[in-house]
Amino acid sequence: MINIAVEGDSDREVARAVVTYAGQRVHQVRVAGGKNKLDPLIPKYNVASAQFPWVVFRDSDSQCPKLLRARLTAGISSWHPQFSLRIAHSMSEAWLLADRDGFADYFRVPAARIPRDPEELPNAKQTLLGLCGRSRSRTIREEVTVSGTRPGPLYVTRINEFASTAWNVAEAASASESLRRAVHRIRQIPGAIASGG
Amino acid sequence: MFARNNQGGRLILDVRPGDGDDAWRYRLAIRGEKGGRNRPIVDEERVERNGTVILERPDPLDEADRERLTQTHLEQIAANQDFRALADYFAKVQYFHLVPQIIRDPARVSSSPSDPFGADFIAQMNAVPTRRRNAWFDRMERALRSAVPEFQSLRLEVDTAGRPHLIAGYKNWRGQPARQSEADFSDGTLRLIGLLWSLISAPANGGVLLLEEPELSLNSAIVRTLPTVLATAQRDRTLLQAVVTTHAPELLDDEGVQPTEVLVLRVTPDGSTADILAGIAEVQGELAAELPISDVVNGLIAPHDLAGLIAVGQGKRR
Repeated sequence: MINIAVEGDSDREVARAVVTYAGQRVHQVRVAGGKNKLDPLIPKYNVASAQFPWVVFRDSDSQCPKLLRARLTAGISSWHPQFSLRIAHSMSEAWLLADRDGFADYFRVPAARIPRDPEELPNAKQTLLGLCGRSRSRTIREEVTVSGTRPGPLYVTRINEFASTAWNVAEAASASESLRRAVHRIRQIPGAIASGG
Repeated sequence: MFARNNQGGRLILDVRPGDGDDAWRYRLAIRGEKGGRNRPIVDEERVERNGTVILERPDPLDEADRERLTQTHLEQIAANQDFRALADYFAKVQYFHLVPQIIRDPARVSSSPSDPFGADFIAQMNAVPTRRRNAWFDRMERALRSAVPEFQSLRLEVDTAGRPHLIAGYKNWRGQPARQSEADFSDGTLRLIGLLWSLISAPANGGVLLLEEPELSLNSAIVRTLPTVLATAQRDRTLLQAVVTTHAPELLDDEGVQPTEVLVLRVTPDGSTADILAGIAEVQGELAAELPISDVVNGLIAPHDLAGLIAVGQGKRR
């Protein structure tokens, strides 16, 4: 059983899908409510992993993932093998866009419009909103975005619904290196299943 | 509702207050009277001091006169002589859950003396001797000035019909403050006044103060200070114990709140269970890591899937 900590509500099901795809069972997903709240807790989740494994998902927000990781884990003196910090490059929305066919199908947008290399997008969330703003489905246009630039009233619900029901993690991992590595690393977390819950 | 084994429909209270030098135990079982009247009947009443039984009912007198079982000995001065300290302890328990609508319109409920929902709250204030009341109002005024924007003064006035009212003055652009009575106060202001009053008027010789979700209607910055407010009130009244129910992370995350002080109530198929947070095995790792207490508690009690709640407003469109 693995515990997950994420930045925001819209990251909840993405993280759950990744961990489940990696062959682990999810015990709980904890939403920090912003990276400012999540960041100071990262070294603490490492300590808490002595009892049950914790995986923390954090967006790189287009910063260099290596430097960001070094900054976030500066407070960790000894890494627990049951702890993992996964940095989504550039953000979890890029991971969702990486499954182009699934995304096109669910959000009713032409697959050809979806960028082939979502990790290179300067702001994947804006790209996602822009795509949904021109969706063929009026429901998607009205629920997911406000004028194609800002998140709409049901943004979180729709993103989570897509991530939990339609998103193909295998497909997405083949287009996103940070996602592929996240899956690989979470698969290796020792004792996660044996420790029960 | 969850009675699992045969309790005979009894409600059993088993209290062991550690008050003073003596170790007390009070056990009361109540059931409904048979034969249609369904009055609450004492099924068992038992008092122990330091392990010695000093009262055990029903006794032969009760058997001879069943009517005696409609009252506990605890509530009768003539019968509780031997355990008066215990009776006094219970008498000092204050339950407080102020309902603003009732204060604004006390006619909504038939007011009973010391109604915990606030029906006679202002009358209680009025009953305090004037000098002492004025001193207490001064303290409340200072507290309210720092917590409520533009708040200036608080007084008690009796109207022509003899009913007491709270009158507050608010600063505005005119020279004179604007006057408002309790009927105009916001829920948060009323609840805060009630909370401050119950702290200020708490007996100096201790007792138990039961507060029901004191965070209701209050700004989260104020909620964050409540643990300190309570601790300060306790500093002057060393025997005052406060028991607070809450859903507010701000209250739990006060640095002075320890996992040994938090009782986690969890609903299980077997009824609700109450466990001290520090003793729950599955969160030892998180507690050792000093993760926020509100996060740890939420991991234990938060509903896992709220999709059904979100879908409540969904029509047939999709």
